[in-house]
Amino acid sequence: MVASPTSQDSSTDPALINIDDLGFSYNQGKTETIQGVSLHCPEKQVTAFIGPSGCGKSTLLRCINRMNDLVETSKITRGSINIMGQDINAPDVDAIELRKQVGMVFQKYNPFPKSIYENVAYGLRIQGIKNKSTLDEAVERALKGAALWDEVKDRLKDSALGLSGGQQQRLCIARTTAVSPKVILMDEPCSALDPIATAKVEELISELRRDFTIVIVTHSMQQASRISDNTAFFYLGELVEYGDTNKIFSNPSVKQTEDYISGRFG
Amino acid sequence: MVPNTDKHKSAKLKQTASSEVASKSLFKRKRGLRIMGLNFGTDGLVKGFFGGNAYLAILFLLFICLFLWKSAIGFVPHYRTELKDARRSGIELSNIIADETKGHQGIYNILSTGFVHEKRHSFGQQEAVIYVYEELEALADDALEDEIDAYLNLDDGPEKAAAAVGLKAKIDAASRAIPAAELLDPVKLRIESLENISEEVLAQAIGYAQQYALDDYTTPAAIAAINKDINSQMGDYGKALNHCKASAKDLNTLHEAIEQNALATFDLLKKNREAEESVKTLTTGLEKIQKVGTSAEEVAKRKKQINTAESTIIKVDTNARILPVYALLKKHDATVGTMKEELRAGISMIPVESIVTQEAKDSVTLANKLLVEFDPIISENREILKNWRHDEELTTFDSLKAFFFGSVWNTGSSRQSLFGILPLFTGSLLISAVAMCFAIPLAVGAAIYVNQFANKREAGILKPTIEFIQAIPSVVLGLFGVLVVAGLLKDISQVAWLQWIPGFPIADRLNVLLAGILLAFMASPTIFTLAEDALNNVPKAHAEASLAMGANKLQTTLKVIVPASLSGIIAAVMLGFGRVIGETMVVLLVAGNMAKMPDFTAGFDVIGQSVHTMTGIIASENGEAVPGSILWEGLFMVGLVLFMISLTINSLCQRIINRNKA
Ligand SMILES: Nc1ncnc2c1ncn2[C@@H]1O[C@H](COP(=O)(O)OP(=O)(O)O)[C@@H](O)[C@H]1O
Ligand SMILES: [Mg+2]
Repeated sequence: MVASPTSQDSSTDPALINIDDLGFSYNQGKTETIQGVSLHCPEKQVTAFIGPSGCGKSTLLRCINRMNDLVETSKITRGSINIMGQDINAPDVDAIELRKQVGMVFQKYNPFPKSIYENVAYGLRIQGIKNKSTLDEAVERALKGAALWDEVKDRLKDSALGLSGGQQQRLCIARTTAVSPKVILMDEPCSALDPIATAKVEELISELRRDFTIVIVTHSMQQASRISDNTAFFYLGELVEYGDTNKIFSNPSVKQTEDYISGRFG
Repeated sequence: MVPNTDKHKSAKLKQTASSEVASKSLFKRKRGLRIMGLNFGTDGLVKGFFGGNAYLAILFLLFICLFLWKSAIGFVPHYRTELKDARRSGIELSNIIADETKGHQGIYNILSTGFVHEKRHSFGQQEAVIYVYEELEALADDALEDEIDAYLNLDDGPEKAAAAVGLKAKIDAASRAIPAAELLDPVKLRIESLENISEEVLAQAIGYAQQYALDDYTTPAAIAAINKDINSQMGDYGKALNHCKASAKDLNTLHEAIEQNALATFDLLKKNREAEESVKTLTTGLEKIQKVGTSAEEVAKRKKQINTAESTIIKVDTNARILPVYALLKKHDATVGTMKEELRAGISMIPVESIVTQEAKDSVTLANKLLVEFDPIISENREILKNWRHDEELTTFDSLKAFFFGSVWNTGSSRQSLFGILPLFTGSLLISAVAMCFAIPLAVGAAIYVNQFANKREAGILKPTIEFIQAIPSVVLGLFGVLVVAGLLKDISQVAWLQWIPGFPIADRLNVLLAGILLAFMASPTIFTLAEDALNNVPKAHAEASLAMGANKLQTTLKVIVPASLSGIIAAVMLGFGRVIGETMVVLLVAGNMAKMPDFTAGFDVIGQSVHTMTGIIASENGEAVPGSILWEGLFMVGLVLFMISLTINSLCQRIINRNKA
């Protein structure tokens, strides 16, 4: 039933994230929410996770930067995740250092109740950078990268909460990119946005793929087909099919995938 | 009655058209008992009950506000009259001069404390020498025990007398042979009861004893020598001190004469005022009776009463009575000048080089410093007294100023009553500030820990425990403070290696620090609970975003969660402050209740002093307040100030909390 993960045609790109037979449980291993998932996310490409609600997309995404560590009863039951050849669950890996390399953008935009400037500078500040000009530069670069600079450059000192929803989400993306991570994880980043703001964020994601490896969870088929290079379809905690986005959407090899994409279930 | 007919009607209707009735009775308003147009159905009663209670509370609050306001407002003109009388009679003037005599007294007291110290040191030395001799003798006796026994067994006679001489020489020699080091401990043991004897003094005493040895058991030559030293030295010192004391003699006499004159006038004015009051009440009473109509007999009786009351009013010619005061005042400039010069001369007579103790030396230094500070006060007073007029007008504003900025609260004396709220206000504020210094880190720290770092089990223990503190009745806490913590704190403050703590050692047993600590304990649960709520209200998404950026728990807490909840935490702290400043029982028990201005020149040591508070004064003086008297009104005035402070704090907090919700 599970399609071979190696069916991707992007095998020429070195895989940055290597998930191998991963099992994950929220309750000390009593039940597995992720059941033996294996897939490779190639560098500087967009990988989309799709599937019906509750199938474990967000859970898998949060495994990649170990955000699930915050759930006390969580447990990796089997398998491994390697990022740039390093097993991220190895005992000598510091989750905090990992998260500096693997940033995350959340479903509901969540800027801090600080100024726009301080939001973007936050990641650098916690890394101990105090130099004003370094911070200024990084903030400007990140905001420009998030196509937000022109809109906010005159009110950097204003509260971030005064921005529109779409602007706030792009600010969150800028906040994440400011520390130059290798990977950016996005969990349904457009689900709380209107169509115009969504289009802007999608455009931004296509821009960002030049510099970052992106893994995005989405419930919108169109979005996945528009912005991603590879698509993984999950069902009940299992990976059903994974491969080149064009192939998955035009010619899926598994019947279940086809049903889901064409809207027959899910 | 009404519902009865209703029932009948509906019963009849039911029989005729059942479907129609069903629909009608379904939607018809049920009629309850109506009396005088008011609905007394169950709903109405329930509504009335709760609504009535709510309005009753508002009514009661309005009543309190009005009463407080009315009583307090009466204070201002009353106090103005009191101050005016004090001015007309010359008490105000007398008080100004009293400042100078008090200033002199203060300097003299410092010098005399130093003198006593020095004296005690000298006597201590004398006593130590005696102890040293006694110890020497005991040790020598021990060494020559057998020979002494043999000597005692001898029969009386020339033989024994000869033996005595020999033995005496032997004991003397033995005593000289005892090394000083061996003496030190036993002597120390004996003089434990003596204060102020340092190792140095002891060594000196031993030196003396060894030098003169046991020539004579009863009056050692050494003691005589020391006595001579001490007497000559202390003699000069004592003479200088007496000179200092005598320097204010003329000023004191002058002050006393003015004071007596002023007090007599003030007394008369006061009595007249009272008589006038009673005439007024009697007259209004008579008018009331006459309106209703009464017997001529009763009216005559009352009129007689009024007449007797009126006869006690004597016209006081303050202008004439003040004349001797002005005459005396002419001498003031010269007298105060002499006082200052003589005081300076007296201090310079002190034989500073021969003073041994540091305390005495310090006292002279301090006295010299105070003398310098005394100068501008004296010249300022001269200026004030030059322009002083007993008939100068006193405005309502002056009376308010005397209340809000007056630094003396003194209501019990037979003299003029002084209602200066400043010492009470300062006391309250000082205690609250100290309390907040302890409570903020404690409570906010605990809130941060419980909310952010503690695991579920820990939080389950800590939270209810801290909140439980609220259940302790404040009088119990106060009692515990005055009976247990007070002594403990005083002892701790005297521990040598804790002297680096600012404010240690504390001066009074009941003090600001003690009250502050107890109040901090009381305010902590309030601050804790509200601060914890504020932290809890920070969306989890903020913490998640921060952690996903690679921040650790501490960074997330300090840089995101605490700033996001800062206004809530500030509101919590302010409410805690409001609680502390309004607290009565604890401060009444442990603040010491000294209605004097805290001495801020002591620097941080001010927290070791006794103070009085606004709440404490109301609680402690209301017993003596006769309704309508100036004290009664003054206490309500203090109450009004307290009320205003609480109101301000509460509305500020409300605003912060509301702004946060928006
Ligand atoms: N913190 C958690 N603790 C326990 N169970 C969770 C937690 N988060 C998600 N789950 C469960 O894990 C399953 C997968 O959830 P999720 O990964 O959020 O699905 P998706 O993002 O695909 O909609 C769901 O059944 C959900 O109830
Ligand atoms: Mg999800």
